[in-house]
Amino acid sequence: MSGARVPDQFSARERLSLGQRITFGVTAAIVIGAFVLAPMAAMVGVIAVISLLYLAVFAERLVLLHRALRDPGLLRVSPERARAEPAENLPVYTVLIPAYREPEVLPHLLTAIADIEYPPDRLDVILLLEEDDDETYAAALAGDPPDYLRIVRVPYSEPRTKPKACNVGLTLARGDLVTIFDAEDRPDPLQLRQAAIAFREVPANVVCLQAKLAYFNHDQNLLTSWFTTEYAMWFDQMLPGLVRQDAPIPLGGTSNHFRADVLRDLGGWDPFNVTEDADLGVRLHRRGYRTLVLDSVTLEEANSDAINWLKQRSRWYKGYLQTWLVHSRQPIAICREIGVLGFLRFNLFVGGTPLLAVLNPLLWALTLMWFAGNLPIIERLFPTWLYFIGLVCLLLGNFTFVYCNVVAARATGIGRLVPQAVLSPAYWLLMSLAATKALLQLVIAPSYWEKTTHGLGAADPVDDDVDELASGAAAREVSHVGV
Amino acid sequence: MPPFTPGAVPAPRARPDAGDPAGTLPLEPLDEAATTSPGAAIVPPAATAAVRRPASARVTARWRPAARGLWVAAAATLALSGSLPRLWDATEAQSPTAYRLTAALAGALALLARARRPPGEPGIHDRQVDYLVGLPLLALAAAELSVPPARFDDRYWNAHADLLALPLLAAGAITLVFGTRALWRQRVTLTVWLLVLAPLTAGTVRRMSDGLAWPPLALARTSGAWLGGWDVVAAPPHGTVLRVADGPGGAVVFGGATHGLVGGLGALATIVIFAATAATWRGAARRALTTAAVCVVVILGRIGVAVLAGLAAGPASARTVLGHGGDVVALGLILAALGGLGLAAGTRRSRGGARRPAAGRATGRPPVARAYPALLLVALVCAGLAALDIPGNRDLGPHRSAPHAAWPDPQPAADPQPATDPQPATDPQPATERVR
Repeated sequence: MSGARVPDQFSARERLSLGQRITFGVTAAIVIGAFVLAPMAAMVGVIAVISLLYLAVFAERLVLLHRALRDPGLLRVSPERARAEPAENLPVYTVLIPAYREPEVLPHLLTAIADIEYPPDRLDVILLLEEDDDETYAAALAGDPPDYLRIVRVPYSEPRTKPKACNVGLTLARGDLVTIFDAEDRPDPLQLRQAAIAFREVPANVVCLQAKLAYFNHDQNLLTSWFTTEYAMWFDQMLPGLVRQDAPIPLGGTSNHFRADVLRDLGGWDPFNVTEDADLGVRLHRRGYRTLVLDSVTLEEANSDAINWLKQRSRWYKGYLQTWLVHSRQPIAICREIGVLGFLRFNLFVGGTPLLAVLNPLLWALTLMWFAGNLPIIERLFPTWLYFIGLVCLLLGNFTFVYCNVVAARATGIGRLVPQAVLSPAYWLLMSLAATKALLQLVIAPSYWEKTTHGLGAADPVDDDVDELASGAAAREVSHVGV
Repeated sequence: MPPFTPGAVPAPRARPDAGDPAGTLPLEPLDEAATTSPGAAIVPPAATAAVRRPASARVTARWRPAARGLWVAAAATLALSGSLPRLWDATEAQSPTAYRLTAALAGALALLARARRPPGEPGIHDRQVDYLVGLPLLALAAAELSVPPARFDDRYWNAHADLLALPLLAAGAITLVFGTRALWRQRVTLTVWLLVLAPLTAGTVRRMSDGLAWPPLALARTSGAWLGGWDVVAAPPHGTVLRVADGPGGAVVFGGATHGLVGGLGALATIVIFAATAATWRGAARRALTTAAVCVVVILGRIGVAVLAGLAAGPASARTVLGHGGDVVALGLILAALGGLGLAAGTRRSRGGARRPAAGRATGRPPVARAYPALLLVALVCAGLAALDIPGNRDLGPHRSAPHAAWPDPQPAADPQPATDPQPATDPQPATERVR
């Protein structure tokens, strides 16, 4: 890549910096020493720290929910206005589409590209295929791609990750604006127009717009229903809440729109980070740039298979852990850049999400052991003061998360998601599995990209429900949000 | 627009053999099917022929799952070996609680019914997930045998809560040895098996057994009255036993026909467990009916044989047929018949071919190519549980204090009952009075 690359201190190429190694080593030594010298006190201390962490995360989620419900602050450009925009006012737009061994979704992809309502002479679509991916390449050629679509064979190099392919695409991009779509995505045809207009009207420091993502196969099975509700919660509550808090936004992997010059200036995506999007969102924020949420929906295929889901989710969690570790290398510097409160929020949101998912089974096991065995050791682990904190976590915390899910399910406008959202604690079990796998892989294969198999979903969306998802029941009309 | 020429991209070309100081080279796929795409599932016949394995390898591949299954079954049996004497006590006494042994065996057989990979199942597997799911399940099974006794004490053992560990052990072992997808395939069967083995007090079990005995009792009474000369009564002290008095062969007590291994509860457990092996509600109903039919045929056939034996060779023969030995034979017949029916159905399905191609490149390949570490792990855990002998170390009845504890004399026919259970713990009729 001829352009700038992500500076080493922001790259996940190295798992831990020297400072982090020393910090973790010293912490581990202290904890082990405490367990040897005073095991019960040490265990109580560990449980107390975990419980306080849970309390902080619950409180944070409630604040996000409150802010998002009060004013989601979504950027909205009406379809009429988007269509009315003269072609000469629209910039050249580059669409990057990385794909690997996905010939079966190519027809959908070409249809989705053909549906995009943007002047063809200002559209620059780059399909990024790995050098050895002949099957997808053949399928792309056979699909009679339009003239504005370029097929780029990304040469073999390590690591073989999506961000590396995107960086190759970025060097070739001709557009002033750049976005990424996955091969199986079905973006709103007006999304590029809406983003182009929004970029013109938002302050100059807003360099990224994240479109909302939803799933077209939410009714395929219980897993896709939970996944849809989770995405609704993410894009209707969490991200708007984070925007309102002026906190770093972990971007979603697709349908994020950038000003190309700023993206190049930042070095593009970190090829060693398996959630390069989340990392990029944090890097943008640290440089003083801001991200807003665009009220336009891209439909994706929800993972309908549990093992496939675990692969995908473990990659996401691993990427979050990588991002957390990368940006915690210089805590004083990041505190200066995003503020102490912002850093705390970053820790809770980016680090806390996978870590709590790892810790959940431990606390479930303790609870189960208490009810099943009434073991005296459990009683000793929870002295009175800690017992009540634990009780609050158990009751209020779980209620908070189920409540957030139900609110999000209701916001989608699809009635049958609501009762399924009540069952979401079972979904957390899967999350814990994925988080544990992520933690394991962070040690043994930090940059290994767990490929998600696509094409397992229902063939066509249910039109009425898709309309509900696409309309964004919770969206509100705002011209722009001052940042 | 022509495709981009790779040479125009100045990204460095690095091959794995060129070294990677950061250690960030991607791993090989975690198993053979880890990075597959559905589109690759359709393999042309020529390609299949090209990669055809030698006959010896095919034979090995065919028998490998069976060998693994036997290994797991043996390990699970070893783990719960301490529970077997008490289960056998209940069987010998033809107690209603004997249904637990029936349920345990039926559950193990039912797992085979869904062992075959159905058409359309994605070929996506992940060994890391297998271990992350399987190990906690094994730990849960071990915890089930060690943690609740601290709280529930004798109630735990009297209600045979230790048997709950069996489905958990099976779930863990299946996951480790056959993969998480095999566990997912068996989820309903395992859950129902767990529910059927739920710990119930002996009083509850007896009441359920009485309830199940009422319809055949009423039917027998009606039939007896219609035939004439047969006086069918509920034998004291409970209504779970059919006693045919004043019949041509004298009074006959059909104890084993209404409770015991193949009594009402045993048959019900078998029906429910086998119904749970179906993939659809309609299939479940069909399997329930088939299982019920098999149970009814075997139970009625056994009674018929007992009557004939009583007529032909005297009461001792009838007693033999209706005793616990007859229970074991009848259960064997039921399970063999169900196994045979399942085998025949499986053969028909495989002749019929798949409804649609399975997704994933791993079609035809085992999801777990090498399971030796997993097999060893399962065996170690089960051996550990057996060495602890948690169930066997409990001193709950005469079989613990007497040298012949494991194989008690049939005369006392002691039913393992909790001390608080108001129901008498003995069979309503002494063996010597069963046929007069």
